[in-house]
Amino acid sequence: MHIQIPSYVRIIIGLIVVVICGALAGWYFYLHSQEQTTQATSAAQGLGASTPTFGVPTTGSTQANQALATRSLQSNNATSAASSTSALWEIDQAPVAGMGFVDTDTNEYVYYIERANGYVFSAHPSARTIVRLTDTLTPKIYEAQFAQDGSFIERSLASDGSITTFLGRVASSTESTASSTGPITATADAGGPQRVVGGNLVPNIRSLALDRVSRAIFYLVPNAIGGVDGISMQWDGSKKKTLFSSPIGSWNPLLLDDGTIVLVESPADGVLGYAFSVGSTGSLTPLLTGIPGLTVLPKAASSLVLYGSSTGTGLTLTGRATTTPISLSLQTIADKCVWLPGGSEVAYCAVPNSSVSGNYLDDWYKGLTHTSDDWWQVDLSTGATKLIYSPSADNVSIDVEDPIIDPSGNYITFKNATDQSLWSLHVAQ
Amino acid sequence: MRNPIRLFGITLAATLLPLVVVYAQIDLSATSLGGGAGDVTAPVTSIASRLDLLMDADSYVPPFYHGRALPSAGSLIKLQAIPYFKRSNGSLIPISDIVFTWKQDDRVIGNNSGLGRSSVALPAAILYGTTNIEVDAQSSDNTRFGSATISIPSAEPPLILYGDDPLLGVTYYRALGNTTNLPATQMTFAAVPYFAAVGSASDPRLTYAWTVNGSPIASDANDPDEITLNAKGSNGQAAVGLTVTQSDDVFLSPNSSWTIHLAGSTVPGFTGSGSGAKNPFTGQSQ
Repeated sequence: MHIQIPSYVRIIIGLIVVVICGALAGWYFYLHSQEQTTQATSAAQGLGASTPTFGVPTTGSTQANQALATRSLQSNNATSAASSTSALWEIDQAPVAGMGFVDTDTNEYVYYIERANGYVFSAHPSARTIVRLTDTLTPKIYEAQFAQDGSFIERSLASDGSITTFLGRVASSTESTASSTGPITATADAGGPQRVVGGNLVPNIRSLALDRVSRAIFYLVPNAIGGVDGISMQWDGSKKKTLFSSPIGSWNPLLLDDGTIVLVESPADGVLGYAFSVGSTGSLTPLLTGIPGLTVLPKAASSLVLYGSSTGTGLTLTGRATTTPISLSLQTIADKCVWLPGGSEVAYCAVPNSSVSGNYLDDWYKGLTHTSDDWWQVDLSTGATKLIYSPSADNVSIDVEDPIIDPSGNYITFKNATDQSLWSLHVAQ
Repeated sequence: MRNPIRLFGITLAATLLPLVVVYAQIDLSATSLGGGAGDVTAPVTSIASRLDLLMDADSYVPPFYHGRALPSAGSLIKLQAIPYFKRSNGSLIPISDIVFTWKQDDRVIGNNSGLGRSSVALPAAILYGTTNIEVDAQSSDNTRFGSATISIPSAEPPLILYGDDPLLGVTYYRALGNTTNLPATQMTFAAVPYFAAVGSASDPRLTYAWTVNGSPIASDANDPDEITLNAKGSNGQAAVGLTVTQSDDVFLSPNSSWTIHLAGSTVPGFTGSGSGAKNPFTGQSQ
């Protein structure tokens, strides 16, 4: 028996099948689009990405960025880092505010502060490794000094133009209360970069010297008669007293490792300069008098002194062991010299390798002129001088500024005045 | 400008020349007045002793400058005499027992002279001029004396331009030369009028007249000593001119110019600089 299905029923069944197929297709495309959206969202949220790793940065990205930025500004300065086998090491390409040698039980480090961010770094001169110690961001640090325990002084400008002076140190990771007189961490904290703790001195300190051993401070502040008062104090603010007062405001103070305070009239080419040692009662004892363009480098706990003169027509460098000056055959300024620690009469001086202009000192202090320097050894006991290193051998040109030497006499660290980059030179015999 | 100075037949070319020490002994043969019976006439020997003369000025130098603040027209020269007058027992005669006589250009400065007046502030010479200052010191017991002179020129304050970076601050360590290439598209520059007779670079007595490629640029009211260049939409070359005038000294108007090459950009849409009103490369309103 054959059942006849009406045609309208067949049409209805066909329509149902078409609707079902369409619905299934639509459901498929809907689900597919939803999957793509979910994947995009997951990717944006980091799903499926490899797990990031964290660690103590060895140089710090800010440093690298700043180095690039600064280098790009120094397009006329064709310096390049020396090779790893050279006696010379470019510690930091970025501008540095200041540095100092810091002693630990077994090692000696160069601590320094980058000018753009105020971060404190520790560099190991022989291993040539660098660790960032702090993460407290403080831009525009113009000057910095370090005591041998790692505490530091950094100087900047406030928004109103006044000079700020901050006494600080690196906090330890376990430290809960900030104190500027607590123990100092001399190496990288296991917890990574730490904050900086400390406090400010009075504003507008014109110039300042730090005894790196005892952390005594001597600074000059403007006084009511248009000159300066010289104040001495301990790091913690104790024993503060006014040692010196002068209507003259242009002084550069030095504070030697033996605690001796030396005041040098700020130099200018062809202008007579004077230098005095300041007694504990404030008495002034003349050290050098009436020398044009005077720059001075006394040696602690001795009568040794190197002094430079800029007459307006050239530079001379003279040494004095007792009373008789010894004219040295080097044309440089005492600002570019360091004394070898210990009992010897040896000093190292950076000497411009070409003649300088008559207004060299004024122009150099203003950043108008830069030189390419060689390092010379000076033995004041014989008056002999000897070239010990020329950066040109490493295809480097350096205008040495603020040189310091480590207590063992192995490394000289200095800034390149051209770009404020930081360098170290191995000078051990 | 250096003025050779002749002293005792010797020509000395130093710019500023204090003559510090005159080692000599002069018999003053001091005789007590009165003339009556019993008066004693005794020769007093006044011994020339050392007298140092220190000098700087109240002129402007930027923060952290290590050189001397030098005098310019309108500034005050500050001088301090430091005597080393030793008594026969080796002790120093205190400054309060020494009479100082100050002279400027051979004129005694009575207001600043007298017992214990070891320091003085005197006006600097007019622009390009030179002033001579002398100090004589005499112990009150007439046993020691000393003398010192100094010749001080007044120069025009040099205008020096530095970059002012948001992170580094003013880069005092590197002055811009006459022609400078910089890879940045935008940069701020700070002018420093070394040794101007003001307290700060933004002192209201100073007026900064900036030009860029010949067009005047309005100074920023808060930082008139600074200018920001933006090279967007230009070839990046800017001839920057600056003249500084001082309201209380019409003759003082140091000027300088620099050619600065910033990294130009062909991207239109200059966004303006500090004063914001004009494109410093064209001087035209945006």
